[in-house]
Amino acid sequence: MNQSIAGSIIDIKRFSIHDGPGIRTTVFLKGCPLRCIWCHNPEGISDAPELCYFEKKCVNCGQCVVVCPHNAHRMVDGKHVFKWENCNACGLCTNVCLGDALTLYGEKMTADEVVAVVMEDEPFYRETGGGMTLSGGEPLLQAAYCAELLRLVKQRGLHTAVDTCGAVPWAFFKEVLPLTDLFLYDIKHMDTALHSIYTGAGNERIHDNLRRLAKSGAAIEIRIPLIPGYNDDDANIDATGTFLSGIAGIEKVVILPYHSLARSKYLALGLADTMPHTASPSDETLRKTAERLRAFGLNTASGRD
Amino acid sequence: MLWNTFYENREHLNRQYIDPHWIEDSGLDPEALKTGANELIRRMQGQPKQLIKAKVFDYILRNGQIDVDPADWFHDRIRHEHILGNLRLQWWRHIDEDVLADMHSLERKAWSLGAFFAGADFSHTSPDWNNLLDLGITGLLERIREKRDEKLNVGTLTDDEAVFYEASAIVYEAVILFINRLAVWAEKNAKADIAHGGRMLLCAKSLRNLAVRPPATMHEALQLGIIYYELQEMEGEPIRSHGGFDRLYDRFYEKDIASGLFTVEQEKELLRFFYTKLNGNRFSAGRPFYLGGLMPSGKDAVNPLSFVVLDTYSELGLPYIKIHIRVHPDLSDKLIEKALDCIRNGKNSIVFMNDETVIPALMGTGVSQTEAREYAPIGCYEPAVMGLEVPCTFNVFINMAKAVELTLYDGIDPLTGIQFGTPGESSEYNSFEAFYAAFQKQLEWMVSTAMATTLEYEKHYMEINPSPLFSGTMTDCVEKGRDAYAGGARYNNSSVVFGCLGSAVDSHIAIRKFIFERQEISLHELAEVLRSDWTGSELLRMKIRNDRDKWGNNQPKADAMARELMDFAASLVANQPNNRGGVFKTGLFTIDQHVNCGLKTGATPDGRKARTPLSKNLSAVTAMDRQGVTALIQSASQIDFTRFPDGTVLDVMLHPSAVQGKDGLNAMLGLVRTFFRKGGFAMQYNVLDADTLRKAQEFPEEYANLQVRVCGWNAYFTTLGKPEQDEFIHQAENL
Repeated sequence: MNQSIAGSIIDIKRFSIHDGPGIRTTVFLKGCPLRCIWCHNPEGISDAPELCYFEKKCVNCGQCVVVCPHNAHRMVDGKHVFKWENCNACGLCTNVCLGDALTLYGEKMTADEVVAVVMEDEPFYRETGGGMTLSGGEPLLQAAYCAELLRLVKQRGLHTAVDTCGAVPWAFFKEVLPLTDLFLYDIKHMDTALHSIYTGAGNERIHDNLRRLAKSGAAIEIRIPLIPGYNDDDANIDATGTFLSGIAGIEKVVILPYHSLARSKYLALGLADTMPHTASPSDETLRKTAERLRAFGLNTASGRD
Repeated sequence: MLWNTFYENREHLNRQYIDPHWIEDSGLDPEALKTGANELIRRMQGQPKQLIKAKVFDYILRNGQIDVDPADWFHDRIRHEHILGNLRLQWWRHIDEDVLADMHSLERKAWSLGAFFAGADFSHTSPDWNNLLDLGITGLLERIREKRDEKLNVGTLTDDEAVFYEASAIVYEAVILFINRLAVWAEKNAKADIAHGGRMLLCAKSLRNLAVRPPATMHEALQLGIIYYELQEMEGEPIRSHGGFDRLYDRFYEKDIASGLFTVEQEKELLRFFYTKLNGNRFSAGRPFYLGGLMPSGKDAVNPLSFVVLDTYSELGLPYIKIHIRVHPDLSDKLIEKALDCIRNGKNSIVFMNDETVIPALMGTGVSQTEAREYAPIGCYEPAVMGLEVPCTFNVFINMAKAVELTLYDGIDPLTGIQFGTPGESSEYNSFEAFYAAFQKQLEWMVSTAMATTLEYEKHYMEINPSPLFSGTMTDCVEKGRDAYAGGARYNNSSVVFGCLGSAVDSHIAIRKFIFERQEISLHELAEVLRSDWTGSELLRMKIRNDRDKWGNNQPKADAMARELMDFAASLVANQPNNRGGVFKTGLFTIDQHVNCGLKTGATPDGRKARTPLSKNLSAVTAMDRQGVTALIQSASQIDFTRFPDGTVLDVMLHPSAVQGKDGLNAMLGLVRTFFRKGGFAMQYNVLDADTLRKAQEFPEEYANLQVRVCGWNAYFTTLGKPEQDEFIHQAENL
């Protein structure tokens, strides 16, 4: 195995505590097969590198204009103007930006480089049974890279988790299966037609992969992002309960609340904002939904409890 | 009703100290009391101050009005009119203005520039609670008399010792008299008031017992505790720890329960009254005690009372009750989790202390391991051996960022133009090493000047604050016949506390990188830029701020600089002899002085603007801890905390979303355990989000109950000044 295998990284987040047991570091990988309208990590959708520009943070210092080889940054009347169409995401500007307004998503990092960052918090993983979680985007789109990251962390005796939407070929799962202690597996909607409208793909492959994954003996935690008005109706929750209760080996189901905090990222990436204008579900709604699923014999919890 | 009356009396108890009531028939009116005391002081002029103090103490307890509140379970009120406090002030002023005038004015100048303060410290004590509860007031008095007679019989009693024993005996006899006075009025009240179902008779009985023997029940033990608080503080030394509350009081608690005297619920009711009274007393820096920790035997001290105390604290949420949790590897996670649960629910007047670091740190000052295991965190997080040590944990405070500033300007304070510190030759610093050496010289001058001030004051401690009551609890003082402030305790230590570490480290890193490595600007130019508060140099300022080499980010260069700086600072202080037969201990914290010193410090090389807050305790400069809490802990762990026996603390601020659910609790526990496994000293939490704080600033009346941990103590957020509020908001915005 080539140790310097490189992957496309969005972010590495330390002190991540809701993505598996203990204190963890979550590595976000770039690229996703789905197009969920409520996506809260839009920087993870495209597999190509992207420059993100947070206009609010810009201090109009003009440093980016000096280094940009493609004329993507300009100063007009003392104000910085960014032209997405000129940018090829080389990232040179992010090194000189004084306002921390420019970020490159999709930096290439070798597995060794990523693991070096992850291992900075080793004492916290050892103390709490934590480790590394791969998320995204859809990490399994870079299955070989994932396998390498997981192998490096696992051989140090630490816990590994993969957070997946499930919409990838089964072969990708097979690559990481023996190296993954826990799968965090998203279930979004039981009606495949609606699933397709909301996420850009039907749910058949996702469900199929989940059954195979369960059969293979993997530890699985189901995560349901609850989007008010989209997938929170009783009929869908009951259908979800029926489906999941028919699969042996699901350890836990967690209801995650929708929130629209990511809306500004769409603007900063120059993407059309697709996020629903709906409030975050209340603690009570989350608990009620969890209660409803518990009736199906599923060990369900609200993501806020 | 006898029981379950706490909540109907809660407001009333709080008012005891705000709007006090006195039984007018019980003693002299305040003016007559003051006149009588002044007459006594005048008559005694020329006599040893110990005796004057003891006689005045006796006079007040004999003649002052008292109060016995029929709604209360505990009685302690004496209308002392601050007579002893004012007498001490007068004695202190004489030393300041007549004896040490030059030194005092230099020290005032140093503090007006935000450089350092130095002097006496009588406000960090803990009496020997073991002796108090084991022997009672009568036992302590008996011991004082026995020791005096012993020395008298063998002919070794010196004049000084005779004065000590006489003063202490007067004071302890006065306490017995005072307890009996309280009992008399409790008995009178009992006849007049049957609404409280015989509570006054129970109180009178406990008081009568305490006047003749040590406490035997929880009610008696707590009653003695509260009386002792009132009287030691009247004497002049604020009590800054109630010791290990669980290990001290559990024997009474369990005996009460076993004998069927009281139920668990009734014991809780007593604790509700007790803590509410302590809280109501409103000592602004809080009322500390600790739970857990190692016993002298090395075993875990946790007992049933530990949990009962935390339950009561959680129920009441009192901001001025401060709990130290002494953590060690065998301490049950259950106790820590209970404390963490309080914290995330807004009751965060809690500090975690690491026995595994604190105990070796104290041993480094010459204390044995068995003794060190009885340490109590004094005040905020300054450990001292209860009953054996008079620690004076806040003699000297040094603003390390000011040392950087004085180095840049050759000893002339840039904001005021005042010459201070040692002169330097900044135009000749051609390398970072040369600059750093000049900084070391500046810091060394500040430390030695400040220490010299404290050393001089120590020669006059007995002229300012003899302490016959406090000394009487301490075995070594009584054995030696010497006051606690005359070096009578087994350990009589002093302290130098360093502050603003993050600002100092980041400034050095910036100078090394931008001046000497990249040569973007000369040292002289930087000094001029800072003098103008970065006018016209905003790009440079942002470049420096954006640089990743900053303290608190697990960056090897900054962490190494911090370690080097603190090793050097500790070497200037550690175990230097003081003038009381003890040594200086090094501390590393700012209390709330990072804001105050910031106001007096000009722009600093780390990109900070003039007059804005400096870094707090072990924290990164605000907004510069970009890597989050785990990186901050990794950085902090680089410092060898066993070199800081005077204490230090890491502040961890978390967003409410990070502490939700079981995962959140586990994570909080994991942070404490990991920091302590890596040698951490102490840690405290704030769980805050910026939106809530902004709303509280705008609509204070709706957020009157919002508590924040300021620094070793709690405050209601809405009562803080605007700069302190803004600083909290700024920090929370970066979570």
